[in-house]
Amino acid sequence: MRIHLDHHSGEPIYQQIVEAIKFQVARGDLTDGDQLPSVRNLANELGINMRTVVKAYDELVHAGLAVQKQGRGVFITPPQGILPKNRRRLVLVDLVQRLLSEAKRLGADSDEVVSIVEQVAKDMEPTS
Amino acid sequence: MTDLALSVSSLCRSFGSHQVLFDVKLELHRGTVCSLLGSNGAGKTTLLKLLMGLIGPTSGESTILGDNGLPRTASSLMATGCLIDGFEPPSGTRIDHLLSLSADASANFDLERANTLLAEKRLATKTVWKTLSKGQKRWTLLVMLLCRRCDLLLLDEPADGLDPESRQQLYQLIRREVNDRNMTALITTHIINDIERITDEFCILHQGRMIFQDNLEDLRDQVFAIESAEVIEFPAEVQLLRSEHGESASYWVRDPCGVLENSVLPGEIRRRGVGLEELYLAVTREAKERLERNASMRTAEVVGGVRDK
Repeated sequence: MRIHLDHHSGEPIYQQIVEAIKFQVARGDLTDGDQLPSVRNLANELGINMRTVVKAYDELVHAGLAVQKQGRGVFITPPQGILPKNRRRLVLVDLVQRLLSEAKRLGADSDEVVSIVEQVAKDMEPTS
Repeated sequence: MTDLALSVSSLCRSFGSHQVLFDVKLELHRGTVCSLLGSNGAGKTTLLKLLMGLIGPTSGESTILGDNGLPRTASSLMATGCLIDGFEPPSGTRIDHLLSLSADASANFDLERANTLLAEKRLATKTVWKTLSKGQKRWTLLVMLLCRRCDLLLLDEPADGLDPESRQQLYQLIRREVNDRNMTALITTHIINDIERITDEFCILHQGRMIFQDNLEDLRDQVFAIESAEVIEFPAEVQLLRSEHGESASYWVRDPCGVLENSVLPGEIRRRGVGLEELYLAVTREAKERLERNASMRTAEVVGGVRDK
């Protein structure tokens, strides 16, 4: 699995792993039932502590993006039905609010944000 | 056996009237990589020598792998790999002879692996020591240490003289040993960007004082640089590591409870995470100024005292 880490950004490494895997799921590079690398393998490949990988996987499981199967590893869950629809809306509204307040701080209005969202969504469409 | 691979408490060391270490404390759990940072003359090498028992402390105590005696026992020395500048094999020794010496000395020595790691650098094992370049010597010594399968590695500037690719490879090898065998490594370096990748814990030694020790991943979560147009008073939960006041104010803060997380501070222009190098510079600059302030206060007291009389 290709994950690029920025060790100098100050962003927690486990967070970077979570974001990278989420991104790969969104792009369709990882799909339902795909197994994530073992904790030891990913830690060695990235040259980091195993606890950091465990923390990232825990976060993915907690967010409903992956399941831990006892003794077999961590697997990506089916994309639909992770959350009931009304709950999903709440989560998205919260994310959008955070995005917009961050944008406001940078001096961008919501139109600019919407156009970026559309552009990025287009870029993230599976390449096949 | 405890979970600590290494511990140091109230450690002081002087050379004559010159005190090099002041009340140093350090604890390191097994299975961690700790970067020991500090400028030249901070006392890093002295600390490693004390840990190995090469020199004794003026006061205080240090323990490696459960052994707090001096000199260290043979078994704790066998289980500890140490690289400190100044050790060189006799100049006429061939590499393969060095390797077989290591293999004779330690049953754990992985000769096959050593040969592979040397061959990767196209180092012929029949080469004589004095004909090696500085970087090749360094690599050979490191390979000999890594193939001993130690429980604890103490490395003083191991990256010194290595090319960037070898540095990366070295750190990756160390990380693997730590992940796979629960080894522990304490590494001093000046090249912070390289080591940041594999670091779990780091500590900063400044003028003989341990001014910082922490878990790097926690810090990535908690430390920010904040730039502001106004002077900010931070809540008590927030630890102010350093502030600089120029055209705008810059603050390096640590927010362990997350109280700043969802708020924009008055006058705040920018907030960003901080890498290890920047944090190191901020913390050492702060410590340096604090020491200077203390010194000038002491001078002022003395001058004041003289005037009073």
